[in-house]
Amino acid sequence: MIMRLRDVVHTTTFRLTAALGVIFVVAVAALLALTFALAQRELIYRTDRVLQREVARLDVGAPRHMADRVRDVIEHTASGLNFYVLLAPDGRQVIGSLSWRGAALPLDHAFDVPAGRLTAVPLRVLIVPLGDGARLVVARDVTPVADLRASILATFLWSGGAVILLAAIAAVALSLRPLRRIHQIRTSAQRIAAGDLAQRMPVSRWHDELDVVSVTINAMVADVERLMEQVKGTTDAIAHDLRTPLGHLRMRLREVQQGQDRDDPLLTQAIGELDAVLARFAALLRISELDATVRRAGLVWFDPAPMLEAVIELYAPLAEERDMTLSLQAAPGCRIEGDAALLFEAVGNLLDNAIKFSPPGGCVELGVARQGDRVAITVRDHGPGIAMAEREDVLRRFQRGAAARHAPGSGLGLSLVAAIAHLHGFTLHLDDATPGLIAGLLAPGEP
Amino acid sequence: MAAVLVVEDDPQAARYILGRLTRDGHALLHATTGREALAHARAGRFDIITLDRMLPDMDGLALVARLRAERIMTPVLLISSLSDVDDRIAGLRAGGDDYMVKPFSPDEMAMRVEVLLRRGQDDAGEGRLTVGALDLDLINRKVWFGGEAVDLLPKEFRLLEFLARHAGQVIGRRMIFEQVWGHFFEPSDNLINVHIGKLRRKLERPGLPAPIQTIKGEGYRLDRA
Repeated sequence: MIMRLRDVVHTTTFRLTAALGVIFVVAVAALLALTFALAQRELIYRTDRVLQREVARLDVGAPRHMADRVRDVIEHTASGLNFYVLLAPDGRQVIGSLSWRGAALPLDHAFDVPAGRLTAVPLRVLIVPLGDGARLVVARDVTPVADLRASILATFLWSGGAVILLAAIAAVALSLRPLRRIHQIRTSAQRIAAGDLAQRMPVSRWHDELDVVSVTINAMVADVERLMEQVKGTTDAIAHDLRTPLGHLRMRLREVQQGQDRDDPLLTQAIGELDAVLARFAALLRISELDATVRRAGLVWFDPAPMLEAVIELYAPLAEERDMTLSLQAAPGCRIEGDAALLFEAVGNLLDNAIKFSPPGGCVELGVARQGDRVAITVRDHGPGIAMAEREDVLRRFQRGAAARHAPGSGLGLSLVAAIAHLHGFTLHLDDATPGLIAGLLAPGEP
Repeated sequence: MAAVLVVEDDPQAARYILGRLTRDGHALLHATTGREALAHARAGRFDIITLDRMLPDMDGLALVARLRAERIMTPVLLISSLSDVDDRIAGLRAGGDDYMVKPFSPDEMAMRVEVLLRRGQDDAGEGRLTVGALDLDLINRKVWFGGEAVDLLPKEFRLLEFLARHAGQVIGRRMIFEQVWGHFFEPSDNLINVHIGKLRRKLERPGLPAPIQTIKGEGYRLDRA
């Protein structure tokens, strides 16, 4: 069984799992962002405390000899994390462990200086004014804060990526089993729809919601199968118990007729009427049999053009009798899967109708052509057509369109064609040919 | 005259089959169950067996299969109420030689018996078939009527040949449709009529009677003379 990724992606399981994955990723991101924000705030708070302590240590309230004190701090501080700059009132750098550039603002509020502007590392800077107009700059390397940010971001990307990957794998893995079961259920349903009422939906040992649905449908199909069996039994009984005595009656009438010296018109008429009843009976039973038939095994791929030529050959004398012409337009490369004998019967019925309802001297056109990925076999006449409102009704047994009510026939021909179309999985469509009717069988084309 | 084993449990159907085949001068033996039929078929030598598909003790198909398995190759005409194409195919596949659906015309049944009896002879192919003023060259597919050539289409030739092979017998529309066109569905009333009509027009010759007769409600007959 081939399952396409598109099928997997469309499953509810996949979507739910994927949605859970996305929710989890968002939650992880929010958690990491919160952790980062709190950690960063704490680190900055601590850095600012360090900067204020350094400023206090340098005794900024006594500006005299500040340059000496700053030099002393620079020379005796080994950590390498703190930087000190003394700026004269005119902004000139008096002394410092880094080269200060730019305005010495804002005052008394620590701020960030990104890496590369003053030093290769990012800095937290506090500038305090001295009483004589000079300014003291105290800065601290905040690389640990940047490292923390980078490490949290990396953690987020890796963990988020891993979660997404795991969620996708889980979504696909979890979707495969239900999808496989859905495929099995769909295949079974298609077989049942095609008439195989012995088919049942698969039921697993998990007793899940699909099993509950399958068990319910199986019970329903079993009921339908039982009813169909009863109908079939009734049909067979009719075949035996009603057709046979009617046949015997016909034989008796025929014996009486043969025993007479000359033809009795009433007897001939009675035999004719009995024949019509028997023919109608036979057609009705045939439709029932076709409806109940599952004939996928006997279907073969073939080009319908030669079959259509044979149908034309069979019906040509009927058309000639009404001065009508029959034509065939067959597009090359049209192949359909079907039972040629049954389709011959179906197209023959359509052509018989077309000849019957076309005005004398007209023409009926048969065609076979591709319509997208399908193949259409059409029979077009120039008769009165079938009104839109009647097109569904005429496919039912004994239903005839208004234009056909006074024409000979049983009203079973199109039902028979519809039964053959249904058996093949084809669509029978009736369209307006303005004027006339286009009756067509739409079949899946060869892939 | 041929020896025919008639296997039929329905007394009325049996009466018609036996009555009609007696009229044709055949020697008949009647069996009403599958077991009885099997015993007769094993013991005697029959030219043909007419076999009802639904017997009280056995399915007719099982009986045919049994006969064939025992190398009893007597031609079998299956007679059944089951008219579906699949049932026909199953009947022929099981070893039946022809399949006829009930209710049937006794004339058609007799006709089918004749066709099966003649099958072996037909296969020999005598090359020429003459019926009254009609002369058919079966090898070159040519026809003369009253000594005059008749131009026929291939299907018309097959139709005439089939009628000629069974000259003097009434042949039903359905049988013509099966044997000449090879289709097993009920043709519309007029379809075979128009083909016969067309053939009839081609065989019209001044001074000669029309050779093909319509037997109302039954079918057609090609007169022997």
